[in-house]
Formats: sequence, structure tokens, C-alpha cells
Amino acid sequence: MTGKSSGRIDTKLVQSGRRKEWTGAAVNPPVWHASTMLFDTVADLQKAAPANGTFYYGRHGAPTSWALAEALTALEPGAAGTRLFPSGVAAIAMALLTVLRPGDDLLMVDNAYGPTRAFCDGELRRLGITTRYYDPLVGAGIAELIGKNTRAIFLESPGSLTFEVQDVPAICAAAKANGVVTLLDNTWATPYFFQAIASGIDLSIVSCTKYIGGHSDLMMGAVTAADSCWKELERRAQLYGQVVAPDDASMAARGLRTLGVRLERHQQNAIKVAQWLATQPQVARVLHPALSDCPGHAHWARDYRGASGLFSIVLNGGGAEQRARFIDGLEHFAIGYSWGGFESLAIPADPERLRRSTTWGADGPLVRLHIGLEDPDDLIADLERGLRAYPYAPHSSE
Amino acid sequence: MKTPRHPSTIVAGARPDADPSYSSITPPLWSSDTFRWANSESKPHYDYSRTVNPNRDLLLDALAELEGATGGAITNSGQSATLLALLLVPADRLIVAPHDCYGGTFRLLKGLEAQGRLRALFVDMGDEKAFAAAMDRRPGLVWIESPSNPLLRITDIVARARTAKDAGALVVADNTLLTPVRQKPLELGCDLVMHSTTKALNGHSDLFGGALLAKDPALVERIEWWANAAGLNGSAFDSWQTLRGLRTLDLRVERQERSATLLAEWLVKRPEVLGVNFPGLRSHPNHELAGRQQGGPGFMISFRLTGDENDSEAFLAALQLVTLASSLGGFSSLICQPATMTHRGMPSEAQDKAGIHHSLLRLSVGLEDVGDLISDIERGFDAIGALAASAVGEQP
Repeated sequence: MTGKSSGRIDTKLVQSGRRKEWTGAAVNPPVWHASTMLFDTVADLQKAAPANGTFYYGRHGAPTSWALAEALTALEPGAAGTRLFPSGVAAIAMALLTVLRPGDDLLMVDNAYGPTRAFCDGELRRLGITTRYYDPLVGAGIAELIGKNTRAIFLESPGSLTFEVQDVPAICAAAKANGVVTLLDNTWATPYFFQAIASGIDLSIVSCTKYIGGHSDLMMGAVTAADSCWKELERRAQLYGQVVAPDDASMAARGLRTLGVRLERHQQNAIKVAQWLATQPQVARVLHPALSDCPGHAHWARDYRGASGLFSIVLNGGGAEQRARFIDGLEHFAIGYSWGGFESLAIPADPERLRRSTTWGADGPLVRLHIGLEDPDDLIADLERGLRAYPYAPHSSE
Repeated sequence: MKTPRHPSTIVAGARPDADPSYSSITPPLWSSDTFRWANSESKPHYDYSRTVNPNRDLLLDALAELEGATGGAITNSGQSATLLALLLVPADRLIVAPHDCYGGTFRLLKGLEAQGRLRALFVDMGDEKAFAAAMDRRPGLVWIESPSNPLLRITDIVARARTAKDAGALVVADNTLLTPVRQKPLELGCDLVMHSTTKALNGHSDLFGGALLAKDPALVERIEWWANAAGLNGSAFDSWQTLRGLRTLDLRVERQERSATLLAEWLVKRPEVLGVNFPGLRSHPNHELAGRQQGGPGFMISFRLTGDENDSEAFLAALQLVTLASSLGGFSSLICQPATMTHRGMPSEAQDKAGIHHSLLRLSVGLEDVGDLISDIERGFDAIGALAASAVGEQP
């Protein structure tokens, strides 16, 4: 047991990070509650240098968090390392601060997560960094948007409300040709379904709160870096004092061990539910990357190894009030933010309010569903009950 | 009567109602030892955590629903659950257990017998005559373990439970190896079902726990009474953590079982292997019975190597992916040599009688890629080959 796993991805999920010097004889590393590390002599103290994997001071981590970071790195072939952050948003913010300087120009995808946009429009603007929003389906056309001050392109694929799948390789190629750094929010697919670094991304961001932790009981983010950005990411994380608590790291690593079986089931259940929803008259559209009419579906089919449990539906007519009644009436879908846990969730979302460079139009209100690990037939029966009562508008052509 | 829910819906089913304060999706951890009374006369439902605790109840509710039980107790280890079952039987009664039962069960029964608290009789559960003869002695309790550990023999639970109950015995089944997603002993006629939750129910090799469940409300009351009186209940934290592990039970067992089936089919073809015990193989003597009584073959395999102790040692030492350790059912594959590890509590004569040969190895298949597991075991076989080659080389 070396902790360095050379096996296939399911083996890596079980093995990686479990170095003998961190776990001892146990299967799992202990939970190291430690702020101060002790040195035998003054000389040892003066000689020590803070580095990932070296005892120095609790802010630089301990085996519990190193094991998790190493495991996440192992899932991204070609990656140099991973840093952990106390939330997904902290990971996004730190990844952006790693690459951007005052005067820089950032290209941000227009289907991005609300808090990502808020960070750009508020904090980055205050630092003298401009953000321009681009069409998620721009593909190789991104080259035309790259200006002389453009330092970075941020991708979120698929977008977590409207699910456009981006042409990641094309965007990475254009970025590389222009010396521009790429950042991807890979939370939806996780490295299990999409290996971002090997696809050309410089900084791959995952909100571990979602599928990595997988049990709706912790907050955490991770940034995995290619060689190009690793040293700078490490330095930023240290300067800003970014650290995760050992209990959370231990819980997240525990979640990671079942990531494969959970994602496999989330995928199977979500596709079943999505395909069923696509045949319902009350549903105008199903935005699920594995379904052929999802924008960017061809990119998903070409680049992704699978699909997770999160997707949206557009209801056929009706408004916010009808939508709220539909969601309130569901039995197996709890109402709450986040996703990636074992349980099913439903929330209303209004993408039109967020868009900047593109517009969002639909036949009715949007509901985002997270399909959990319940029996999918129970979920379908639940949605069926809800939809039956939905006052949908038959198409105007009828 | 509620319609039975599918196991995955039971374990994943969000319980925001369980958190009366904030409706959190995952329950908070109620680590408090004691709870406030509104006044000295009205005892609150939760009064003292040795007796009753919300985290334990949440786990108990989920396990009971999975097993088709009405209640029971969550204990601090599998052995505590076994002890709890034995406490239900009056002193000096005869306890009948399988001759190849788990080493810890054997040790506890022998220990209590040595103190004169009970009389223990170990029988071959596959031997109908021997079993009938044991029932003629009117036992107080009959212990069933199917599949057995480590030999994976299958007991006809329906038949044995019926005979035992006719003889007036309480019937308990240790369901640790299969879990309720593959076998439901209460539906097969047992009175009690026992678990070491340390294993697949928790599934992450990071705690100790047990459970004893029953359908009959009168039995449940006795279990609760003894669990409280003897202080055998599990901690709030371990219950919380076990419930977290339980969320993925169905998925883990499915994957582990799929890999175990492929591994067993591969192992039978290897010349280094003398025999493979796996209920999913057609060659298993109880293959058909297992198919009837179980929802699947499970994820445990045992097999014997053809060589001697040096071969076993070389084989085990060469493994890099599969860890040499006791316990089973976790995400990570473990191998053990029961004779010197899990069944050390059983004297060698008893091991011989049970058929636990020194060269028998028990494999708990985890969530790794099955191709990588096969490569690792192949590495072990290569080491045996290398040993044989060097032995030949040493000859003058």
C-alpha cells in the first residue's frame, strides 16, 4: 500500500492518498487535529520550510488534508497538485486571484454560477479587472474575443442551471495559442467523468460540497492545477491563509471512496428520469447533457465519460406561482440549495435574470432537479403526481 | 400497513423531519448525554442517551425498515449485539450454533459456557439429522449464520428456523455478510436478526457497531430493556457515521458483488487454487438454495491455495492492492487467513472440525477496479511460482 495508485480510476478512488506514512496500519488516515507542530531543536525549526506534505504549522495542513488533496490530484492525470479551500466559492475566488492582476481582462462564460459572477462583478472589478461574458457555445470562436489584456478564460461546463456543454478542447487550444490561462468549474462532471487537466485546462475547480463529499454534510472546494499554475496556486493559497478543517477533510475523503458507485447510480437514475420527463406534455424541454437536444450535447458525447445527476426542465407554460406549487407538492424532492448529495432536490431558477451577453428564453419556468440515489421509479411516480396537477399550456399551434 | 419501500429509497430518503430545529437534510449529531425535563413528573421521550438517543433512533429506523423489523437496538459492536441476543435467554439454557460460526461468536459462547451461564452445542447446520437431534434437546436459542464465515456454506434458513421454532427456540440470524439488500432473515422465519454494522452497513472501515432487530414488539421491548440495562447501546457519533455509510449500501454491495462474481469465476480456473467457496458459482453445493434465499451471492469469497504455509506467506506478501487485515465489507479489498486471524478464537481441533484449513484465505471484495484486483492476485500467484522455482534451484 503506497497511496500512489497506478491503477484504473475505480482503483484510484479506493487507494489514492492512503500513503502508509499517513495512515499507519489503518485503512484510513487518522483525523489530525493540529495547529502547532513541534520540532526537536531550534535548528530543526529554522531548517523547516512550509510545503505540502511537510509538517510545519497546521495552516499548511496535516496528513488528513494532504491525503485528500493527493487523491484528487491522482484523479486528474497530468496534474501537478491540488489545494483545498473551505468552500467551492473560495476555490473559485482563489483560482481567479491566482491568475489575474489589475488591468487584466477575464472572459467569463455567460451561463456561470451566480456567486462566480458576483465575485467577478464585485470583487474583481474593485481590483481593476474587467470581466466580459461570452456565449457558452462560442467554441473556437473564443479566439476572436481574446484581446491584448485577456489573461484568462473561465469555463463552466455544463452550466449548472441551463446545462450548455462547452467545447473545452477548442477553447483550450485557442487559449494556448494566445498565451491565455484556462479555468474550468468541473463540479458537475468531477474528474470521474471529465479529466480537465488532460483536456488542456490549467486550473480545474471542484466544489467538493457536491459529489466529492456526496452526503450533504460538509462545505469544501478544491483547485487542481497543471504545472503551469501550480506554484502560483500554492503561493496564493498560503498568502491568503486558506485551510480546511481536518474533520471536513476526513468526511470528504470518506465520500470520495464511493464517488464511482454513486456517480454511476446518479447517472443511471437521472437519465431514466430525464427520458421520462421528455415524454411528458407538461414539460417543454429537458436540459440534460446526455439528451440529444441539450445545447452542446455533441461535446458531451465526444469528451465526457458520463453524466451526473443534475439537470433542468422547462415547464410548458405557467409561471412562478404554478412552479412553486409543483415543487412544494413533491414528496421525494427536498427543496434546498446545493446538489451532489445522496438525496433528490428541486429548486426554481430564473436564468434570464443572470444573462449578460446572451439571452435566455423559454416556454415556461425552469426547475432544476438533482436526482439522488433513491429508486428512480419512486422519483418518477412522485414527478408524475406533481405534473398531473400542473396547469400546462398546450402549444399555441394546437 | 405502509407499502414496503425499495432499499435505495429507504437509505437515501431525506429525513428533514428528523431535525426538529432547522430541517437539515442530514441529521445533526446529538452528542448530549442527557436531556432537559419540562418538569419532574413528565419524562421526555429522549431523557438519557444510554437509554435512547435521536441519532441511534435514525439509524435504527433505517435498519429496521430494511430488515422488515419493528425495532431493536444499535449496539457499540457486533459482539455486543451477539451478547444482547444471548441475554434474552434464561441462564443454563442450551444454545445451538453452527460448528463453523464466526470465531468471535464461538469464543463468547465458550466463555459463557465455562462460567456456567449457558450450555453451547455446535452442530453442522447442513447435517439434517444432527440438527434434528440438537432440536430434541429443546434449545433456548438457535444461531444461524448464512452464508457462513469464512466457508460460505449456506443454511436453509426457512427449514432450520421452522424446526427450531417448533422446538421452542428463539431463532437469530447473523446477517452481516449479505446485509438486508441481499437477504431478509425475518421474512425467512427468524425471530431476530443480528449485524456487525462495522462491516458493509457502514462500509468505510472507520468505526465499530452492531445491531439486533426483531419484528415481534414483545421481543423488541426485551431487546431495548437489556440494551439499556447492560449499557450495550452504541454512541451517537458512530450511529451518525453509520447512517452516512448506509446511504450508499445498495450501490456498494452491487459493485462489490459484481466484482466478486468475476473474481470467483477467474479463481476457479487457476491451478494455484484448490477450491473456491462462492455461492454464485454453479459448483457451490448450495448454489440453488442461495439463489432461492438470497437476492445475490454477496461479495465474500474464500479459497484454498494448493501449496503449503510458505506458499500462502509468499502469496500474501506479494499483494500490493489487497490489504492483509481482518474485517470485511469496507470500500477497500481485504484478505485474511481465518485460521490465524479472524478465527483465532476457535481452537485448532474446532477449526479442523469446521473445515477451516490453514491454507484457507478469505477475500472481502471492495470497490477497486476488478481488473486491477485480478492483476494483484496474479502478482500473488507469480510469487508462489517464483518460490517454487527458487526451491528447485536450491537442490544440489
